Amino acid sequence: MRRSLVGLAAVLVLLVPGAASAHGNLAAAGAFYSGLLHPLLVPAELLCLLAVGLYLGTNGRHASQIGVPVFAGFVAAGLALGGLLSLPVRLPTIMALAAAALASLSVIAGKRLPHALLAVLAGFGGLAIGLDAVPDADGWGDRLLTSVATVIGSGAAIVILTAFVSSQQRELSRIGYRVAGSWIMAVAILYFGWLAVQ
Amino acid sequence: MTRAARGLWALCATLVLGFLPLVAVIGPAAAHDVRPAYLQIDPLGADRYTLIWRTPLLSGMSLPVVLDLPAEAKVLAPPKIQPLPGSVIERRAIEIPGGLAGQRIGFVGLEGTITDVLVRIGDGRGGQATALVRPSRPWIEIDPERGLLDIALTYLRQGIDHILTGTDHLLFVASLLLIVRDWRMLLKTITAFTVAHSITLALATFGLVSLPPGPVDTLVAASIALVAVEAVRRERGVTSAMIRWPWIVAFLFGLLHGFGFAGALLDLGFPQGDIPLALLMFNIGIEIGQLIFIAVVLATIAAIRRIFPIPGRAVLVSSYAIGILATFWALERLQATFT
Repeated sequence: MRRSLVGLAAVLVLLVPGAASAHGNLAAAGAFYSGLLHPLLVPAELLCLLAVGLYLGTNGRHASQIGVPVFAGFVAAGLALGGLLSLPVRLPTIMALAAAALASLSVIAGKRLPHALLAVLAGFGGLAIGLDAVPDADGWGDRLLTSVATVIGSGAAIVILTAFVSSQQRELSRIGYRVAGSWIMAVAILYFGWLAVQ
Repeated sequence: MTRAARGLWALCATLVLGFLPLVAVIGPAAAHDVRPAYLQIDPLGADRYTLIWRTPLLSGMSLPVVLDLPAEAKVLAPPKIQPLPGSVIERRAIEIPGGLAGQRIGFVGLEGTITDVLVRIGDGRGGQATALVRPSRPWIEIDPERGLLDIALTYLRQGIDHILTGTDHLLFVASLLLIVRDWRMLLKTITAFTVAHSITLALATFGLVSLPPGPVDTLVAASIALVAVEAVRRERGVTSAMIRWPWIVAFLFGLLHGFGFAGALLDLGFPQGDIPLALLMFNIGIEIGQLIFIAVVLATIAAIRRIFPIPGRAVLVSSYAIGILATFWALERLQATFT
């Protein structure tokens, strides 16, 4: 329970007051959907989400039971930390790409990892997404709403993906996951290369 | 599930559940505040036009968006401003040498809002072109030849937007999902809801039936609370007509929700001569949005079930949460109706 409260407190940091937006209420619906869809629309975050989902799903139901809450919790922590720290602009994107590459590498290798390592990788992926998705809205209400929506959106997406992958474990499916993992890793490396030459 | 997994799951659940009330408090206020602005342009004579520019009032403040007309435009008469409940209308007459075709009209400040602008351009022969201007591209290039496809896409998009930002309608659908447990009944219930709201949406749009928005909004909130109560009763093993035949309830309350949808559509206004098309596409948009919501909710629940053992009281807790929220909305709207 203590850990739950610490996690809750971490996201509550987002309540740091900001300038009140004149059209806060008007923008609220947009803020919610913008947060909800952020992890699905930003390429680095989507790659990370797909890779971690594949990775957790291929490691079985028990791994998902550990990995999914860790992932969602660290998305929340990342959102809170990102609001407090001033990180280099590209760092969260690079972290998300690194998490995507590591997770997809594990999928390609096809070996089940110890649960501690699995939790670390899921947490790293979640943290990267959270840091990358820090809302830039003016009012604290919008920031909070967008952040909650990001946790819900990324949590729902990872649950659906993980449940689907863990339910389809035939030989052909497993080959498909490895192929998908290879593509994710290739795209993550290409993306990283593109960032490096920019 | 191991102890560690239970602990981690509790962390995630606490994070999400801890924030739901906040989302709820901020959410309802936003439910139907996203009203578009409206610009109507009609030809007055050679290169002369009348402009009607209507902007919604939000919390008593007018939308901070200013029309940016082509540089060649000459104002023929000073703008007439007419304040209305909930909006401000500005009328003006302009002259543009060479006409409007190919010109650009900008909406300065729109990019800082999430309000859309519905633009209608009359051709002087009874026909109209319609376009929707978004904050991401706050201008329009005038092309009077735009036709039915533009109208169809505009209203389809507005229908999807309306349902996906209409927290109360979504919550009603969510509460129906709590009392419906099999696919056949779900199909029946959703179809009944669709048929019902389509009927009242059409009747209200054509002006055959009209209800004041205040009481309608209050009853919409009350309908959610009532279905939530039935969901609680169902969890406690009680049965009732509403639980046995949820599609009847969905039909009856769907009639109410249709008036709510009509309010949004009437806010948008219609292209003359294309009202049936606009109505049809708006309704289809609502259905698409509704089906997206149902699909996402059911897929998420099925996925969670597959990974985690869902506590037996989850439905009960959800029903109470929805019921409390809906009751709050009902009281809030009731108060707003009388003040």
